[in-house]
Amino acid sequence: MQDENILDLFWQRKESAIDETERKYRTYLHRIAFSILGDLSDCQETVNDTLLKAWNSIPPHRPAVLSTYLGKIVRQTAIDRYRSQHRQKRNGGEYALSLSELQECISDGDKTAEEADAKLLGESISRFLKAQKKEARTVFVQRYYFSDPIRAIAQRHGISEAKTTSLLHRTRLALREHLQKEGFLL
Amino acid sequence: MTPEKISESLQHLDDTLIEEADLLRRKKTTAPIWMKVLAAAACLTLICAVAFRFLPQNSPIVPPISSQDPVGTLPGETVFEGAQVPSSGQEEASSPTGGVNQPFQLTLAENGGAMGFEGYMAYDISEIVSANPWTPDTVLESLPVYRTTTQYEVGGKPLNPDFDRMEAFLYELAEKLGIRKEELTVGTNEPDEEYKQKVKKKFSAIGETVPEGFFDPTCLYGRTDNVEIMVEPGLAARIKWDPPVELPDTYRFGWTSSFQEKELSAGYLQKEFAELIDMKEPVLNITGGDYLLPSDGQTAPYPQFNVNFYDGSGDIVTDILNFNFNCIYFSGDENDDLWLVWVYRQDLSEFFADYPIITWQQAQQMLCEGKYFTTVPEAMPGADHVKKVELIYREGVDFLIPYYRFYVEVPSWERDNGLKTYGAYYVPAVPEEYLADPQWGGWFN
Repeated sequence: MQDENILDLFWQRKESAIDETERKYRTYLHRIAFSILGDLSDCQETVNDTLLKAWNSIPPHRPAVLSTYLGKIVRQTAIDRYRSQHRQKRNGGEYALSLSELQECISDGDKTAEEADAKLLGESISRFLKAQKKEARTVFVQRYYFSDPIRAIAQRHGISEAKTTSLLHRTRLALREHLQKEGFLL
Repeated sequence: MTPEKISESLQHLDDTLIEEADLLRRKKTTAPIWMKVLAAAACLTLICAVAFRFLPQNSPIVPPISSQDPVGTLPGETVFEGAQVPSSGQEEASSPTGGVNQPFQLTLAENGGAMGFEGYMAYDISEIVSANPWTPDTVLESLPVYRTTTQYEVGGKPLNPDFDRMEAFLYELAEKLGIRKEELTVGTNEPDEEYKQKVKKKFSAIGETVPEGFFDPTCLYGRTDNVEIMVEPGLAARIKWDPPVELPDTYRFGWTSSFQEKELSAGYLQKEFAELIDMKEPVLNITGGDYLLPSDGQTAPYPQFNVNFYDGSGDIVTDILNFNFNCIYFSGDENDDLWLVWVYRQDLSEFFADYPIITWQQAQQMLCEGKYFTTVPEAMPGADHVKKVELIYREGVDFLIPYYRFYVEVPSWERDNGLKTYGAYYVPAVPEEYLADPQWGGWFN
């Protein structure tokens, strides 16, 4: 079923919207959730929560790209769940690894300790990424937004894992410099 | 500022950035045709071996099955990569479905490219034979699914070959052949400098550089004066004799030898190579019956048979696994001599879970509803044309999964001489609810 038709079902408040969304995007959502959580049962619950949140938010929303919209919801839901688990000292999957890599974007001993507005920060990172070469920005987004494994990223870009790692490293360092310039880091 | 903060802020990334990256995640990797040809040429032996290996019956063709998942399953990508999986020890396989706490869905994507369709020619389906331990009367509640441990790049090049493991297998086989370590000259298939330069020029001509790892070795060789052992990453090993090993004159072991002639030769080989076969209860599996059209020196189509053995000492599930994954093939040449042996030892170390199995009757119902995969460029002609079924495993990008293979007579392809073609149509033996969005209908229909 086309996304437009699925959205129509949501707007008409027909529960088949959930079924159709799950049928079409279940695997997609599973992959994102699993990369973050690394646990099948949590992953299933996260996808279920995502579908419920989609039901509750469409309408009033009518996303232009349904997959991106659902992807954002499932990512946030999975991250929330990850945090809850992390407090209980449970391990995550690729997300935990990607988080440790992002440490590199932050200056050592950074005392900013500000609660910079996440939206402003996201917009700043968007500006940074748009100024990068396509390969660098897509690899970055796949790794840190989708939490994709490095091996999978390397394969789809036709480069080695070592090159992927190196590319990510350079991009992180450049991002740190960018964030410093824009005043997010001291 | 914390990594979590940055990660959280990525929720506010511009949608165009997310969509751009996501689009690439959904696309299959592509490469220039000539690059694919180069890669394919370098790996031709491997691809043939894999094809031979995972179509244990008699097919000379590898059917390409790839995911048409609307959200995209990338070649070589593993859904669970780098994360915790419900993997357990092999011993848990005795607990039917115990490993599946919920219907986690299996991806069906496979490596491989279009190599034609999988069909078998015979005057009657009874001529297509094998010693598959599974028969239509076999009752199975579940079968194990394993994760694929050898990953391949586009073009068939293996990723990160485990040369230590390959070397151990090489020496083990050498020992079984009575060859001492010090008698072997061991090396890899890394190309020589001249070849590398040629390829570099080819890339350079289109303004590209040779991808990293392009020339990395993928196979291990051990050679003596008259024997060559080649081991591939998936632990398929080819043993080749030069000159070939002569069989006594009473045996016929050539390409055109009949079933009975191959059976007699197999008895001799089983005794002569007992140490190499090294099985508790070797079961002779003569596969084939598929007719080849006459070539030089032939006046009529003739059936071809392959000789292999698998260990039949276990229970039905173990025997099915051995039939599919642990076996040894003997091949003769035009002089009725033994010229090569393939030894297959699939890595089943990553047990994933036991999955319930549908019956072949249920699978046939699905087949008739159009829920199948095939490389046959004809729609399934109907239940009346289903002539045979067997259960086999197929190697996917992520998993080793059992399928029912249906031999379906394609009426429009019957030849004037009465030779029929039986097309292979596959239905996963795992229930549909355990499959990740299968796109039924095949790839040529």
